[in-house]
Amino acid sequence: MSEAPRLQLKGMTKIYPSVIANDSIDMSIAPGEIHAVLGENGAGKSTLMKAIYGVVKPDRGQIIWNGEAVAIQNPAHARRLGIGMVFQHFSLFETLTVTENIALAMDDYTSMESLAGRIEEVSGEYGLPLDPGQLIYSLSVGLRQRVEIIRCLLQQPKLLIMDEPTSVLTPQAVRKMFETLRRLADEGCSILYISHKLDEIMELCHSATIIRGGKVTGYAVPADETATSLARMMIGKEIPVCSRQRPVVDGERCLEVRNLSKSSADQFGTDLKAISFSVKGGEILGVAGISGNGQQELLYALSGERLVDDRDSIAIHGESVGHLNPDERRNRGLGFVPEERLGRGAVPGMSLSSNVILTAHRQGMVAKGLLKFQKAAQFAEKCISDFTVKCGSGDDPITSLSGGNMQKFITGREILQSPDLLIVSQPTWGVDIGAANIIRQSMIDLRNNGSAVLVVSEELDELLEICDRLIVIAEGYVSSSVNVNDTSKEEIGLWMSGMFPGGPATDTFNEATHNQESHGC
Amino acid sequence: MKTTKTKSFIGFLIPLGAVLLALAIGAVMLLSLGANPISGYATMFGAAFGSVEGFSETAVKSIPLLLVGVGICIAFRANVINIGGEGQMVMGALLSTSVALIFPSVPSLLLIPMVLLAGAIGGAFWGSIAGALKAYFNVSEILSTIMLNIVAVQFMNFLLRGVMIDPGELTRGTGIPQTMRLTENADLPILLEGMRMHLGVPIALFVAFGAYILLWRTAMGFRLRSVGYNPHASRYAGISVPRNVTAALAFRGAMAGIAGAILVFGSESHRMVTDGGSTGFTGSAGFNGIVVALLAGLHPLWSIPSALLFGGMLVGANALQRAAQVPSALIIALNGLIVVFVVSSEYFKQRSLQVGRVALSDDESTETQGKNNE
Repeated sequence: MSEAPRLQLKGMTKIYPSVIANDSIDMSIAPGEIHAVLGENGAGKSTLMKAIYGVVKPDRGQIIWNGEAVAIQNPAHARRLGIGMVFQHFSLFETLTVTENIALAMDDYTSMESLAGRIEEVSGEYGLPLDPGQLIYSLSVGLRQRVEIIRCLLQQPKLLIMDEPTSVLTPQAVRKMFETLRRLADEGCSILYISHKLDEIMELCHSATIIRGGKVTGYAVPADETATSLARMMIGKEIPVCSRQRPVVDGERCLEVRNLSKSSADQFGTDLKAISFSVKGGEILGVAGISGNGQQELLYALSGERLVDDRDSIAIHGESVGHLNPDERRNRGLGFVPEERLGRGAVPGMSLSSNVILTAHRQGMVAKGLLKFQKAAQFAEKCISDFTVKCGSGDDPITSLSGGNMQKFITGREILQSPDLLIVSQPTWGVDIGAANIIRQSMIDLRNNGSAVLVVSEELDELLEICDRLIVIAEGYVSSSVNVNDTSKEEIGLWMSGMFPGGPATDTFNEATHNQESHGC
Repeated sequence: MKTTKTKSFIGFLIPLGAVLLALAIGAVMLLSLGANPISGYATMFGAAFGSVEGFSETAVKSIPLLLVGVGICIAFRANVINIGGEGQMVMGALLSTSVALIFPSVPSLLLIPMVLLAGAIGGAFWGSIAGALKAYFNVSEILSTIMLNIVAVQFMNFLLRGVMIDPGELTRGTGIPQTMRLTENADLPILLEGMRMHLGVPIALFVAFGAYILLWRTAMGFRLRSVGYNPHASRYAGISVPRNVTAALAFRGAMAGIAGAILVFGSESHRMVTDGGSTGFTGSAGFNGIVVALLAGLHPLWSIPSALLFGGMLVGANALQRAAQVPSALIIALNGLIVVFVVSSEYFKQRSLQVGRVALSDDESTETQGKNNE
């Protein structure tokens, strides 16, 4: 490509008090190029994108836009230049309609009617149908992302930044989105595609910049590389592999859920609809599904943070526990790692050691009502070393840990208590590959020692790697379980959009009660 | 552990600076009233701390401030704001007075613990009403504790004008709403001959140490603090939030109740008197104790010097009035200034602790320090 690059970065540097997020990063994107920015969580990808979009100000470095050096002041300035960004976490108001949400982000005034017309026009043009009058809360995550994308497309961007766009999509919806992105690129729009999923990048992207620890470690043409070579550039070594010997023992039923129904505490939440499944000792059961389909509600009910009406609908070791609080369930062998680390899995403001006491106090840390700090400190030290938590010492405040390290610490705290039943939500979310493998391996080890493990994750690849059986949750319904060896990513993907026997999509189809779009596509 | 030390040093230095700033503004006020601030302050602090007699008086004045302050520390740690100290003191005093009236002949060794316990129970009962309302029905504890103050005061007036009134007041026809002189068996023993320092002082100190142990050494204190820091994480760990919120207000009420009992049995008249309002009995300790706790950074042990400072100012105020001819109301203004400055200084304290890293609340440093001392 001989044209002047659409965007050029020279020596971009951003320093935070404790870390250099970006260290002299150079990059160049041509018009119509789909360019991957590849790196582990915490490598500095998001900071770099935010600098381009005017959210953070770089400390050093130059942004050259269509051959001209620019200092991007704020996102509105970036949008005027023709830069659009779809964030990983959506910023939509649930009680407003699609049109109203998009109108909020428009820099110049347009009447609602003409805006709604343009939304229909653009969404139809790119094969991303969207009803402008629908309220956001009634939309699935996939459709919400579509709103964000259309919002960008309405500005006719010359550069579209997509931050981890596929983490909320079913495999089928990912295909669909790739088509849209290719079409945009054909029309001359450049795309910066942020991801850590190697297969997607190899399939979609023309070129890639690989970042590790804030520095560029390589430029590549993904099609010419292998997953292994890209991974080496990304993490600096080979991807460690989990060893997963299948235990032959057929354990007893450890967790049993029978006809569990529970209305959500959140008015935009998902109600659980007569869910039934069970987990045996010595197996890992995965719960696949796109976020917001009832996972939170299920986990609250299983952990005991919200009690259920029918105590018999949840049983641990055959004993009904639906009426018991989390403490009593933990006394019966439950361990639980929630999705939110800070403010649920850990108490901000307390030290690592104190956060050990929070759930591990059963390990001899309380005698006659007095706390044994020595014991807690030892436990914290073991957790820090076993799970390679990067921190000063156990006396450090938990808030001084990065998200990934906090995840390792909290997961470690639960696993080291050797629970009979471990429930983990998003075990490796935001964790680097090396640490993710430690966490996965320790869950497998726990299983091999006869414990039952329930993993709720949006990462289908992860579930397929570590689980023995899978169930899928969609709109509060749960599918029957399937052995991971007897299924495929495609089948699970279909199920994730509600199309399984007894699932919500078949319901809708049969009863034809609502004409709402099904999930994904 | 250098950082920990530096942090607790900053945690001490900044509030101290705030107090000095408030005193400096007080000096301007003294000047404008035509008094010499230096000699004024010298008189004030001399009277409070300059002699054994003065210090004994200061210590006695500090008892209710310290007890209420320690209770506030516990409640605040559980993230409960309690303005019901006045009512809880009154209820504690009423129950302990009733015990003394009903069992006048029980020997001191037994009766004194009995009346103190009755005080604690009375206050705890009153505090836990607001606690349960907050925990189970989400009633603002700020409103309910204030309202319960009024109820308690009227209840006191009702009892002291009715069944508990000194029969002598009825026969004489004076009708002052007060009890008779309570049994001597319940008098708190004087510790220093000829002075006012009585058993209430070591009791208050004991309670302050006990609260420290409770908060940082026991599982129960851990639960209280955990709920105060973050109810979601507490719920996740199986800690009952409503139960601990109620417990925090019960503890807090118990301490105010003990303060009420000590006010009765450590008073010179050895009876319970009402002037129709609460301050006539409590001397506003139920409110001023909040200030003591805030100055102490919500730490039970730091509440000891903090209570002595405010107790000393109460003692010194009268001396200042006599010597410099300034109204003792100036001391109330000075109290207020100290509060405003100390509370505002919290911002600077947090900011100085945050340099280069994420927020660390000061109590973690005390916790780790405590561990190092082991």
